[in-house]
Amino acid sequence: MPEIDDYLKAAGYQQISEDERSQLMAYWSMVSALREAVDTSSLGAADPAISYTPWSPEHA
Amino acid sequence: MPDVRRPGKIMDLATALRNGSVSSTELVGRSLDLVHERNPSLNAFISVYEDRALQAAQQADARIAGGRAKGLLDGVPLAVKDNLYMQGLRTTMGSRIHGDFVPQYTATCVERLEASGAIIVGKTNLHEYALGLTTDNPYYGTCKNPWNPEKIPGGSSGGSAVAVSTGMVAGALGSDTSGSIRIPAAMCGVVGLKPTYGLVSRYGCFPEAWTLDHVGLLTESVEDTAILLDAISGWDPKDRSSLRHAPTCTHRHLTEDLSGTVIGVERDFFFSDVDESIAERTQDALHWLQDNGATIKDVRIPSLRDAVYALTIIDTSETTTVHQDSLRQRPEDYGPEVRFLLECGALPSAVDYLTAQQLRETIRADFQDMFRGIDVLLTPTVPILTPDIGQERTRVGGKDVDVIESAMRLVGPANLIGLPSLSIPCGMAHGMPTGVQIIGAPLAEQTVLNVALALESAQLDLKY
Repeated sequence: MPEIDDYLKAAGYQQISEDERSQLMAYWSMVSALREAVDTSSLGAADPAISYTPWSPEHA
Repeated sequence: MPDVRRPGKIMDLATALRNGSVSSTELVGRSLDLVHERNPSLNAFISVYEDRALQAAQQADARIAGGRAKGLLDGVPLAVKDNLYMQGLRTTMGSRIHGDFVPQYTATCVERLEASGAIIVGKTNLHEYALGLTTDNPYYGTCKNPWNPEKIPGGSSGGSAVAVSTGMVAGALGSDTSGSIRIPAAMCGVVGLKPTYGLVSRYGCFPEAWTLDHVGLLTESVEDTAILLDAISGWDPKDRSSLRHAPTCTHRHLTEDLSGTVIGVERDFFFSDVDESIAERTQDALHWLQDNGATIKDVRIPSLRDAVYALTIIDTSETTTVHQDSLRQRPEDYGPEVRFLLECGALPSAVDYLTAQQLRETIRADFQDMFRGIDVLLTPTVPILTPDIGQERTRVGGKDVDVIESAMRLVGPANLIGLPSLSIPCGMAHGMPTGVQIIGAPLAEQTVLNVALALESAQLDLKY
């Protein structure tokens, strides 16, 4: 996320300081490293047999 | 010698109140005296309700004298974390933004406590908006560990843990989103329970992360935990996430009998990067349980490798959504640490969040399979030694690690999949209390409490 402060500003959050920017970059690097380690292909997002839903309708 | 007092468990106080050897007015008076004496240095309380509590104590005394006691909790002084609403009484969430906020209704869990006759002495200090585990609050004071005031009490329910640990109150309510009851319980040497998700109503608890938040308890003993859980649990139609489940009846069915109990041990996740002395205390607990009738079984949960990522994305995203308006309009009114955390939560994409939710389901399925072969999982609660106030990094197993990430790592999975999880004192490490975590299957609070009761009888917390 190269322009982290622009991203936040576009989302309506106020300008962050240079110090906060570097801390956020470090945080996002850490999270990105964790994300890279996730094997998303094993989650079966495209597998109709799993029938995953992030929402439970009222009638369920 | 640490100034940690044990004036009486709820059960003992209830007996004393019934036989007339003490009045509720006396108990509450002693509680208030302790608060006045210790709170200026420990910052456990944000608000103290002296007149209200003494009036309620007099009413309790009249009921008890007239043979109309409401139950075991009638007349017993307790405290409530200051993110739980009480009608007409300032509830700050430990924040500047809500510094003058007065709710118009009372949280269901607090209503149920007061309906049982319990006396709420005051509202306890917390990490700002419950978004941290040090309870180093920039607006209401740094909460300090009574075992060593240079160290954190843990958080975010630090005030509640300190209030119980010092005997200011006989028990306290807290909230737990990523360990905020169990971490301070371990660090302050008290019992902390995070129940099954939905078992205790969250109506009136200021949200941190909706799918991770739990209301729970901190007490001096497992029996007291059972008494409080029975008082506050059960379906609440006002909470959409509340389970349609009757209030628990755990106190009546407590037993130390471990015969037939299978205790799981998962070593890849829960025993990696754990301080050596804390790992030894946990092994002490396992050995004692095995020597006293339990079977120990090694288990594996490979999907736990993704638990930290899933919890981080879900927790931060939901938290920032809660605060998005204030973060946009008045970011300067947050403490810098919490503001940074909220900015972190604005970064994940919708795809990141949904992937985290899928990981959650995978981890849930793995735990479900595991619980077919075991009764509870036992782990260290906090893998690192209690940090000093202001300490950001520590060393464990020769590695330099972040204090907050490490402290949350072992308690997070139980929040992620809503399992009941209890921390019980289990010996000392470098002069500070440590705890072990007992995790059960959904709605298996009785099993968790029974194993904890057995372990409590071992008095491992007295071993230095």
